[in-house]
Amino acid sequence: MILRDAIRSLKSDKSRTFFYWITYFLTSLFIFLFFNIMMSSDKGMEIITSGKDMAATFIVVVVVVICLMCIQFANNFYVHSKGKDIAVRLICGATFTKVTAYLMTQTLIIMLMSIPFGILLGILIIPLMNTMLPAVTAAGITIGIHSDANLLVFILLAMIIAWSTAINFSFTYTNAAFAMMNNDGSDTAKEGSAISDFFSGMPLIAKQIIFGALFVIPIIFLFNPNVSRMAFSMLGLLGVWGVINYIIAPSITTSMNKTNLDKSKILAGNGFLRKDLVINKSNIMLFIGCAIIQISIIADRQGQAFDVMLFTFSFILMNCLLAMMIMFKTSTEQAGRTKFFRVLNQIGFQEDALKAITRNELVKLYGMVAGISLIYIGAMLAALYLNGELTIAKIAVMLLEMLVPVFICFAVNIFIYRKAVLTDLNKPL
Amino acid sequence: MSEVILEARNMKKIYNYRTPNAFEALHGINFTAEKGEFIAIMGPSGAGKSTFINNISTIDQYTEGSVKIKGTEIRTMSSNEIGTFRFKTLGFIFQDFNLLDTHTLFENIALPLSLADVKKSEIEPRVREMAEKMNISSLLHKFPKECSGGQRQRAAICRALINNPEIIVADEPTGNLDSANSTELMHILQKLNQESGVTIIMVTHDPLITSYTSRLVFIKDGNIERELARGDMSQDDYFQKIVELNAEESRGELKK
Repeated sequence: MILRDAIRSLKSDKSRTFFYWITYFLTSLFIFLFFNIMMSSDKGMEIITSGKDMAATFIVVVVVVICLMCIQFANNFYVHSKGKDIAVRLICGATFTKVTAYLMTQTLIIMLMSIPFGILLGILIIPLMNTMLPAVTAAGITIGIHSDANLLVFILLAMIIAWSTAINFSFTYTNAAFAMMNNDGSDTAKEGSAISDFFSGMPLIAKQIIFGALFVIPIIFLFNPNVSRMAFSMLGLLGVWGVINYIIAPSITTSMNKTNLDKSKILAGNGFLRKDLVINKSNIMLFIGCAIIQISIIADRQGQAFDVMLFTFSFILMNCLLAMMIMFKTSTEQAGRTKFFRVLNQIGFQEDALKAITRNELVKLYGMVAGISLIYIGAMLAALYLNGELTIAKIAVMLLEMLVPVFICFAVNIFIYRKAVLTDLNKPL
Repeated sequence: MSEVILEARNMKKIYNYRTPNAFEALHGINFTAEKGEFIAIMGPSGAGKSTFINNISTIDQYTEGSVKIKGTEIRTMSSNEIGTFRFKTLGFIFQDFNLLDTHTLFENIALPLSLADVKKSEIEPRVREMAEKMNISSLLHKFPKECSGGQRQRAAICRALINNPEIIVADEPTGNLDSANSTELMHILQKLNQESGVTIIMVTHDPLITSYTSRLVFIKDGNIERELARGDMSQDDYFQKIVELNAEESRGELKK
């Protein structure tokens, strides 16, 4: 019964199911490749004693955390759309355990249909990497399928399953049936934080000066080879948070209420953009933070071909997962705007105008994600170039490795957004 | 002679048209609204009130018959013309306000003006003036979720009225308000109707709310079953008649 209902539920929204599937697929592919590449080197970590290479250990921890976070956002994206379905089940007398089992069955079906395929693709890719990747041939190492790596992959996948169970259980446990029934899928989480509460009494201009300085000063220090670039970059992330909160978001408001008040598409779209940006500021910080850590490690390991390849792989992996996190977080929020777009249509916005609003909003959002990241990461790369630690060609490749996932997620996000808000536009409210 | 602002002739709405599940929700309705009228649409649940109001106001497309607003047949309009027509002629008020939660009250109210290509310098004073009238000036920088139901409904009315529409279409506008806010809203709509001559067509379940209008149209099973004009009646007498009409209709159901 539960199995039949779960399959029906998965079929009811094919695009969401597909994106949920692809998250598990890519996550399992990435972690399989990552651990097997790492274990192929005698410099890599061992399962229990990781003391040989602290950077590798550190990256493993970061990879695990990012994987779990990405799964959480993908799960939220999928489960939020099921709010009404779950609410009806709860109202009809289903217990939390039954509802969790219902959600978990869907998740497990997705996992069964994705993880084996991800690993299978990984097994097929590994021989290709041995022959096609110059870094592997140069290092004289053969990447193989390592039993320790498989054990790690198994442990991580078990963690992902446990994590998904916990997320699904907490979703049904913390949301009252009424709230789910009336929630269109938008993220209603509190947007404030301990930092914003701390600064709440301060005038805006003071906050702008403080966080502007926190944003800019670490960039200047990045060019000094004698300081810890990583430490200053991390300090700068606080600046990134403040700049988004206190400079970019208020300037969007000013542009809407003053300069572009007579431009209907900007007035409508920038309100959505402001919300997208505010809910994504932690993800943007994480995106920049992870990139900086890995660029530092890659620069540090120049000349060690295998290490460079390993950390470049983790760099690509994390850029993909973090860009996906931004996409899922934004899509979950945007799925709750179906009614807003119908309202805009009733007020007099044509479908073409609404299409333009979705496009402009996402171009600006992903443009800002890329732009803010590029200021920091660009400064870091420029500093490394000036110091002779990286060549222009390597920098260009790294920028591509960072920007391509962002661009792909932008394209997917537009598809999901339009499907959510522009279908049935003329349906009465 | 009064000017006809909206006219529906033999209007039919068939859901799932030309399918085995076809369902006729409105059966050839004839309805006329004159300029400056304040009309309440009443009827039991599922009678077709919202379908009726959606089909006479460009929100939904009727299946057969004709609907003319200010002499123009809706069906002949292109989607562009309908869009322009909506923000120039019609104002919509809904039960659950339908404000954009991502936008402040100021931005919500300014939207129809920016659509109508009103000059930038004129938008802010007009929004502030309207907010002043509705007593929400101090809330303009707030987001809808930071305001009470009554405040949100007043902001929704500001948005509906900001372009000086000739017709206001309201679907259960007091449905989510307490009695004090409902009464206040009805005074606002009544004043608007009497002083500015705006035509209002409003769906409601509540006889007391209906007593603020000038005419009652009672819909049942997709037909206009009865009509009641206030004429020279006092609000109290009119209210009494509305209650009696509703009671008779309900009693008729009991006897079936």
